[in-house]
Amino acid sequence: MSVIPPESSKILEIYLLLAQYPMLASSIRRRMREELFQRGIISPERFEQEIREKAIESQKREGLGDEQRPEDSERWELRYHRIRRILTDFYFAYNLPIELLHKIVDDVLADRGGERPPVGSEISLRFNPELAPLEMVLRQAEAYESLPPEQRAQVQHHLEELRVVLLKSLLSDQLGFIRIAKRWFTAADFSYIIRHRIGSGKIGGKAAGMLLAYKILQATVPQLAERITLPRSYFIGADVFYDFLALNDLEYVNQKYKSDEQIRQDYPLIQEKYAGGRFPEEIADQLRDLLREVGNTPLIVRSSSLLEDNFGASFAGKYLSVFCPNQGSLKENLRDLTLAIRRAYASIYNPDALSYRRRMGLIDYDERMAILIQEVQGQPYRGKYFPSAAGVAYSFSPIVWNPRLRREEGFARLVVGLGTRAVERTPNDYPRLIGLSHPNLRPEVTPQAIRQYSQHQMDVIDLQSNALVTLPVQEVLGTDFPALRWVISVDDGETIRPPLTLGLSLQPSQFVVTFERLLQTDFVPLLRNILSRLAEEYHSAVDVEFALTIQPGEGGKPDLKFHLLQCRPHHSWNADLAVRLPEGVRDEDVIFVSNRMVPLGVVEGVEYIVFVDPEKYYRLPSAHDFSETARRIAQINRALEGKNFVLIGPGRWGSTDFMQGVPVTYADIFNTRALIELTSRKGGYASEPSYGTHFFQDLVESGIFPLAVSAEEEDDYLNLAFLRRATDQRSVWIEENSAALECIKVIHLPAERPAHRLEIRMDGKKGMGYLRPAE
Amino acid sequence: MSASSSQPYNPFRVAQQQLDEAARLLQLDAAVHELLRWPMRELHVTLPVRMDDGTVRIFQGFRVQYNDARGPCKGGIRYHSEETVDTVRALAAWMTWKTAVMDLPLGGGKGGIICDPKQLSPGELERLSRAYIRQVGRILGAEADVPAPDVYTTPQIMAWMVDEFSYQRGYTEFGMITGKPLALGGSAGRGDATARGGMYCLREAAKAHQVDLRGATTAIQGYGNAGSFAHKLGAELLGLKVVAVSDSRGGIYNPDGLDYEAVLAHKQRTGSVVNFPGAQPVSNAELLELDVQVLIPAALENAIHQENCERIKARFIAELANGPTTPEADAVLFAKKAVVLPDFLCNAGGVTVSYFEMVQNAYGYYWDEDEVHQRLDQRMTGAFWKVHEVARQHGVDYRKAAYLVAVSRVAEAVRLRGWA
Repeated sequence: MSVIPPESSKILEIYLLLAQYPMLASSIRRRMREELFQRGIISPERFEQEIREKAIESQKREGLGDEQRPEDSERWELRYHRIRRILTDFYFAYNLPIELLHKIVDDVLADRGGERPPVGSEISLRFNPELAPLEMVLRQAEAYESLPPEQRAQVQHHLEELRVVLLKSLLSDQLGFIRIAKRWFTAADFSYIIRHRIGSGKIGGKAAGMLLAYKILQATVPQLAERITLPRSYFIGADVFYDFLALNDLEYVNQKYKSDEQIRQDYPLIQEKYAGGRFPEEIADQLRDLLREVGNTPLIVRSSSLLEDNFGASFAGKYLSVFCPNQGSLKENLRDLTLAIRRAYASIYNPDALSYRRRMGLIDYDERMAILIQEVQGQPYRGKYFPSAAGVAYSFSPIVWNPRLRREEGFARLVVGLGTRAVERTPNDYPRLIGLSHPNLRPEVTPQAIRQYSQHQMDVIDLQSNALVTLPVQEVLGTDFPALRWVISVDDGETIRPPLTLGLSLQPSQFVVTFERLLQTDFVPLLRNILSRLAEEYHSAVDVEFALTIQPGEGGKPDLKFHLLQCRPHHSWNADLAVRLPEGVRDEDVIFVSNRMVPLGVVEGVEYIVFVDPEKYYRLPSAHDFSETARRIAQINRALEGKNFVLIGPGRWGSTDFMQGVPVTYADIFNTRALIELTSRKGGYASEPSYGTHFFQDLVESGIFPLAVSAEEEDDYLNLAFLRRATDQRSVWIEENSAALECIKVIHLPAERPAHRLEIRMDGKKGMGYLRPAE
Repeated sequence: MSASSSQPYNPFRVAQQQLDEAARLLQLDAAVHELLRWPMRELHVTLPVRMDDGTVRIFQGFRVQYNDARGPCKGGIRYHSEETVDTVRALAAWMTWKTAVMDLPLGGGKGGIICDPKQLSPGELERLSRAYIRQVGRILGAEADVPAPDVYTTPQIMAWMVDEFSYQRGYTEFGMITGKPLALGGSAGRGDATARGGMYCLREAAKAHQVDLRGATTAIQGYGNAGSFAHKLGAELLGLKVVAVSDSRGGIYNPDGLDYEAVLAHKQRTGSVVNFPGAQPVSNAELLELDVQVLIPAALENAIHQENCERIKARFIAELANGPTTPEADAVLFAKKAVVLPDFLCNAGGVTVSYFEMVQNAYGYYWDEDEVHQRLDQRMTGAFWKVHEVARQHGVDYRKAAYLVAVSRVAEAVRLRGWA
């Protein structure tokens, strides 16, 4: 048993007194130290040194980390911080009267944390910020920032260092991030993060990306500042993940080096284990406080891992986000919230995420999960809760269906209701695709097509059943929906137009989601402005998730609020979102090159090419043979299901006019990975490709890339010799024979070039399909 | 009608071959035959259009007036990026036979603009449509040539066109174009006209063949306007039991019947009929071969062809689509005694109501829906029995008979006018 020092009762008294001021205790202790330093009882340097010594001793005592196996910086920081508190109390108890503490408490209470600059706020920095406690760094940064400009200029280098330390401790130690972020974050921002942080550790990539984008926008487009908002957010520090593991004996679950099969097999069990885990009591308390603060506003729990959006990887869709409708009792809501967090934690072992990490070379990293908890942006309407609109926008359009669209002006996918339907791919249901250079150009023309390729379902939170539900748009929206005028058009059977009136004759069954009126407001310029500012500051293309609140405003104009939810840069850090074309590919390995309206993306490991020979196709004897070609393509599409193949053929795939291309429908080709159109101004051929516009939205939702190779485009190329020479394996899949089948060739690439596959890389300007060794 | 295999497919040549076949059967006068092989008049126009960004783009357009011996030309305007004058000629010829077989006092025409409407904003589309009328308006008019919607042209475009034309003339002339919105001189009953006409025709065919269609199992390929209304009206007017329907995503089959309202709601909700609860999936190809009494192809060209025609089990085939049956299949179906109601008779409900729209515009008095239905019924019934009679006389299928009726009517008008 250790010896109890004589002053222990006084230490206890100080401890108990400060326990009554959980939020102000840090400020009080700071003032206590100031007294100690001012009275010469101990110098700041000596004090910090003693903390370090005690910290190292305690490491040894606890057997946690030594010189060979140092603790990571966050654990060390936590240790350092705790010892600092203990030493403050200890020195004060030994050297100064308790009455002085009461006076300090009164002072602090009087100015609630106080504006008084700390001791040593004079020019020089008298401690090493890398080693100092976070709070000390923050106070010093605040002090520097409050200096008049001339003095501040003298300490700018210190201030930058302090900000970098704070960024590294709270947000990210990714250098690319810090380089940009240090220009925008101020002490007040760090203070905000700390106030909204639960537990210690970093707040993770997603939260960091969101905050940085917001800071940039607030500073660079001040005229829009009040229209761009962040949802109320809370951050569960990444260290809580460790505490959770330790508390629930989950530390020894080590999945990442197992085989794919094993990982998949184990995942359900891991999810179950995590779902049963407990949280440290103080975390649970803080979550309870959070729930009291937000009331019954629905929440979303989003993964915000340290790797996510950070070390050159996007992790898009790999980790989990969970909605918490938050409509039950406090107890129920806490249960749901913690379950959501536990599920997000477990998703670190999601087989897709692990295989993605392996592919990106990130498997050895000690991944940790911070959590971003946000209020869901939206309004209650008829017992449901959802935003007027939500979506995802890209500063450089990854796809284009029309040569007039300027890709550098960006692109958006917009839905009514929660943004999940815009972010995810939704076969058979379609977000509005907006080329921001020409918001009125859409891939559809006729009212029927516009109706078909529109959003039919919406995701909303059902406040009564306390659940996230998907419902038909026409069921959810009524004529009293405040944003109706800007969201829907009316289908009167003949035309689809924005509503002229919102009178009683309007039936929800006539509603078609088009956002036509919204696109005539300043929404598009606003979005373009946001994207271009962010892209400029990031020196990279970005994508942004957002929600919109649209309320009727003055003079028939809408009152628009833009809620920023997430921002990811593409090139500079996120290697997987940038596509580079291969170099040094041998001529004979190139299958095709395309230069117009090329999307962004990669198709890997293609095993088959299904080639419709244009010469043979255009010489088919009868109309029926053209239709048969389409049917045979459908048959091959079914036969090759689960195989990796692409279609190459004459003219406009999907044209109803068979002279323009094979008259397939989407249902005939949906298994292909890419749809390549061969065009020529020579007789017979279609001269203009369609880029899949006959079913463009279907292609987008299924991730099928449309490409065109033109005989007249100088830099376009098709390796016709290879396609003609290759052995036709069609008979493996279809036994019959006919004139139409004669023009279809199924090429098995590994049979032509052993151990090779086709890869298509598309960087937004140029696309190349080439043979490369299979991985 | 097979095109020679050494040359690329040319739709106009196919149209001429169809006429040649009818002329041979009719032993048509050589001069009349030669006249009918060619369009009477064609106007090729160049259209400058101011784009949204301030630049001017030049578009090319056509209007083909194939034959106006029987009355003003009638036929749609197509917006198509690969439009050719041969396609427009073929379609204009086809309109001539279609209005004739329906015994409408009209000729045949067609028009088009080479453009990709998917690349145009609504404003540009409006300016392009107005530019077309500024050029072509000089040969249009309720008494001369009356266009209508077609590929990628809509009631809204018709409204812009009638406005531009009226502006040129200095007064409103609704009758110069049909397919206008109801609020701007359109006709009631146009929405379901194609399907409704087809059902009247089918009803008469059943009478002619002494078959009771109540409860007859029916499969419908295609669930756009024509297909979905055929489902509704087939059940409502004829008591058909629709057991299978499909769209471009695939089909559904339920031997106990498919409820129209429920399927339509499902399609509107999900974008497709597939996955309709309680039905089993069928492919578009399988649907055609189902053991049903009535088959209604309402979507694809050449759906019934050499390979599958032997396996088609339906007794009645009502062609709501254009060109769903190939000539080879026609012969086989005829031999099997299947009753094929040919497209240009069976789907002529649309052009008939277009004609009604002209009539109402001329009167300045508008009929209610019931009156439109009743008059459509009269027209379809009359047209069917005439074709039926000729088919009996010549021992040919309905398609050939319809050609014979149409060509002889146009030839008669040509002769009376003294053109040949």
